[in-house]
Amino acid sequence: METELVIISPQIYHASVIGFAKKAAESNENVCYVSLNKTYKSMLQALKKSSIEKKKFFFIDVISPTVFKTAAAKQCIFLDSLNLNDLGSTLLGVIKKNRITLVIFDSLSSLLVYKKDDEVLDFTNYVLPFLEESGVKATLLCLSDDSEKPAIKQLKMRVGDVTLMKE
Amino acid sequence: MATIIIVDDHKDIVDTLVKIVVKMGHTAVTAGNGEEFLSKVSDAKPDLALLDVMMPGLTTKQILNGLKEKNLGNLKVILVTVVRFADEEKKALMSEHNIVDYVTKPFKVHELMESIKRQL
Repeated sequence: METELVIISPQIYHASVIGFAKKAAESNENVCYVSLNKTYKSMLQALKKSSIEKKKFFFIDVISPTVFKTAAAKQCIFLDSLNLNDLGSTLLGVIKKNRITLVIFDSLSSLLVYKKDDEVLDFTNYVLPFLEESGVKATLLCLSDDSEKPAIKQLKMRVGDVTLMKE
Repeated sequence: MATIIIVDDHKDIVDTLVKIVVKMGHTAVTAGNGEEFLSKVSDAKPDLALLDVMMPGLTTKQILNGLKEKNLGNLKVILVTVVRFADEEKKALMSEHNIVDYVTKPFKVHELMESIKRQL
């Protein structure tokens, strides 16, 4: 199964993300949306605004607990720190439990704010083989500003497809 | 003339914000993360803080709580961030902390300048 790295210019980033979500919702995919830069509530609001059905989505929200007190949610797991072992094991658990067929990871750029390139690569080297063996597709999002960072350059060679989106 | 503290871990963003603040005739103080912000803010006595949400180190919750403990009642905060919040979350942030506005990155310079002007 294909892992895609999507490199997006900042000006169209959020519109593009909603576009991916819409496409995923219209397909037969069960989606796990990993968010490091949009709160679960803001994603629900954005999906509703764009008339995107939320029932096919399960969320892992790593940003809300760093700002707010969060309450348990049916379709979301909140992680209160960006521990990559926890994120990896939570993601794999969610995939198994919810029969996920597509992971949207938003984003490698956000991950690179907190983690070094080699830590990001360790994480992707842990997660991606599992996804590929399980037949789960992955869309890894990244801002074009970060496209020359070492981790992203490595991933360009590692993934099945690289897409560049700009204005 | 006001003093504005810029808190962001991206040097290019800090440089841009400093240029904007100085062009508006204000004094800029910078901090690269939450810890540095909290250690500088009392002495710097800023009128306004431009605060990034996603930085290494202290979480936003820790920074805002730390700021509250310092009792800097007059310090207004504008969040300048790529992080997207729901409307109700923005309202909660504004009611619980001294956050007066929210500017999303990538921002338009004139919009940020307007936001700063409104608060000073």
